[in-house]
Amino acid sequence: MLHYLLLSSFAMFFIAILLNFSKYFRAVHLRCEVYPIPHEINYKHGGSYYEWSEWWRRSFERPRRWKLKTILGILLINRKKMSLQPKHWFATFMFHLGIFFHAIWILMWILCAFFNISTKILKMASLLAFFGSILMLAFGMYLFLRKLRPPLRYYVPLRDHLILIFVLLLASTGLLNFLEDFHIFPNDLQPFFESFKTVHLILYSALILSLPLTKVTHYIALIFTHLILWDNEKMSEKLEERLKEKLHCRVEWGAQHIAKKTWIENFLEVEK
Amino acid sequence: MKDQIKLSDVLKEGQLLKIGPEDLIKLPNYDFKDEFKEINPEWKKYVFELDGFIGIDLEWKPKNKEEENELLLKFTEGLKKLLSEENNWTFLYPLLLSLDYCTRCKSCSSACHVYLASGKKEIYRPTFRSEILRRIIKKSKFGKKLFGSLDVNKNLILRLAELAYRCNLCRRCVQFCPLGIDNGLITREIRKLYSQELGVAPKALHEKGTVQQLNIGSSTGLRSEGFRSIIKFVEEEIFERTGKKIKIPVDEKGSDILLLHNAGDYLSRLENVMAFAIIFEEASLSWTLSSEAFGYDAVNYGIWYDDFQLGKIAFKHLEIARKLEVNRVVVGECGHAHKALISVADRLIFGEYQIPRESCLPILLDLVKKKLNLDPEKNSFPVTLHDPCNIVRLMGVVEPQREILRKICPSFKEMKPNGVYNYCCGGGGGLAIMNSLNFPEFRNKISSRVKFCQILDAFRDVLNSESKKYVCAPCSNCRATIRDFLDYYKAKDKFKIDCCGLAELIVNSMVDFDGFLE
Repeated sequence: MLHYLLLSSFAMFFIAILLNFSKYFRAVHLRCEVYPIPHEINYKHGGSYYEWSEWWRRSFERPRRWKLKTILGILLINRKKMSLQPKHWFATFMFHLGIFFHAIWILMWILCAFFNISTKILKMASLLAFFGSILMLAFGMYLFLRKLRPPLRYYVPLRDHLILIFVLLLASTGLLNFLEDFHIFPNDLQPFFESFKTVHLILYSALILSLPLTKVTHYIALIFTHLILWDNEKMSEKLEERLKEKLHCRVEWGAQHIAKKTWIENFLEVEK
Repeated sequence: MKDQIKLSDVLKEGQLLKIGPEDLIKLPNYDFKDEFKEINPEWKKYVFELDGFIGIDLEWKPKNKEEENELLLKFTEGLKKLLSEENNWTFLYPLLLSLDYCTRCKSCSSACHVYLASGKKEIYRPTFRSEILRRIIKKSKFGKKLFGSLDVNKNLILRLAELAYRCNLCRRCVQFCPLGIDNGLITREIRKLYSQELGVAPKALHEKGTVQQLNIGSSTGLRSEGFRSIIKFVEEEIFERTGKKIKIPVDEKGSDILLLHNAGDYLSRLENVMAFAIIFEEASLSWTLSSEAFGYDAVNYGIWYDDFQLGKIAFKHLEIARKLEVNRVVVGECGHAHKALISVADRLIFGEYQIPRESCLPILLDLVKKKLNLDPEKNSFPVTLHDPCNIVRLMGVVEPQREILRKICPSFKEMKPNGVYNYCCGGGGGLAIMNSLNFPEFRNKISSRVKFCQILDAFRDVLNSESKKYVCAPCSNCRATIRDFLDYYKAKDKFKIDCCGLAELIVNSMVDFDGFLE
């Protein structure tokens, strides 16, 4: 039963994420790229195809795999933060590592509802989750305390504090559960931990469900922010069609220099 | 005034921050005393309540309750439009992502030269203005005050507008944000809200900038006749300086290249215009300038504050190119014009207006490599390079200018950091041309300070030598900013540091042209 609860919370999570982020798949916007852009040949020095005269006459080989490689680099290592805030980087890195370890354990837990997974693998996943919980707890606490100090405390909204408290709570209950798995507690406490595990997994499902409503999904958002920052695609027929549609939207801006007409009529200063 | 300013303080009366010389970061190897004057009492009719500097030189403070209510209403309307696809498809999705997913880690702050130069004053933190916008959107979304949301009152509206002009839009902060949150873009969107809904923007950008350009053809007020007589003067000046007679092609239909300069160069420092004419003629390129309105001014200030002015001017520029039947448009040494016309406008124009556009820098490199007869020893003085944000970080034109300098200036030395990770000159985002009231003080003392530190550092080994030193800045507005702060810090007299364009250095190293820079 608990498997299905977790499974359905994950399914709901993915549906919510899809709904939340689907608008960014079809987004059209003006160019606002920032270099270096990983799919550029001159990536090493941050260059672009504009570094060649008559760039439109040249064909550019663009190894798109660089995008993926760079995104993975940001997700896993995040060197930008490492260089600017090494202490904070270490704490967030360890905290996220704890989440990854936990995710592996959850994945195993779900899989074992459908497949016959050896207990050895499950034990290893539990061990991973155990360490994950420790990392989450220790470094999550550091992050929480950091957010309580000025100037951060003036910026961080209550919702962010609450979600971090929720994560810390789950890491603690998870930790107790894993300790129980390793038979650390006396036998007479067994029934208590049996029900505690149920509560833990219910809370876990609730957390997964609530995540799309929080900015914890920044892990997904950063893919889209970077795709926008790396979008230096030249005008094409396909793009032109989509843009024309937007340029024919009517605008309602109130300033005198903007007519209540379409974008393109404004640009061409068409009199009606 | 408190040391630790909170977001909610923007709602209160009085001046939020008063900055003094003791706050500013120290200059390396130079003991310079900054002086801060009290604000002129007559200027209190403008919005000075943020930090005592006035960027928006309009009298737009509400005078009574009625005007205050109208201001609040317009602002709320503008906010709605900023978040609607029809009214703001241009940057809506990048804006939403940046508003929704900042984790407040503050990595961006250590990347911001304004924040660093000010001695880490809270209001200049890249996230300060973004967070205000975030919280008032939260309030407007839910219709009532939630924990952490901000009320909107006149003080907030007035201060937020000024705050949007304390950022150079250099977008260095986004390079260092682990999540790619774009505080520079948020700042520009705030400027848009004020301009596109309330009609509020600094006069230099709007009334005397884009509006004048759309009426006359140039933001400088230069008309076609004026331009033609300047060109005649340029030809005479070239002859006087070099002994060479050059006929500058104007309005030559069917040329390969239409060259667009920032019109400010025609009016204030002609060296850059002259240098381009010499180089292009020496290389026998098929090129022309245009004397028609819009054709002699590459600037497009819309890129800093208003999508509609941006689009209108981009179309006007390309209409000139279309009429002249040129093969390509080449943008001279003007950073924001590069960005506006070459890359941003790419998604605003189509059909017959889609004429190829490119930067002058790769062309100059080709000419230096293949066509010009150069003697680098003529440029033996120390030279460093400033990277204009619009050309380098935001367009990826990084190497051509360096390769040229490595070839023609034996004492070329890089600043640190450089290339795409450079610091802004302090004039980016329109601040270079905002010269009214006490705003130049903000630029020289705060937004340009880190750049001046970089220049002092680059020349540290030769700082006190008698030799003239040059900061090469291939952008008209960067040059104006750098010259202005070199004057302010008395660096021209004390250290003999001057600023010039790339084309001037090329001509100065040409075998047949002696002493061009002198």
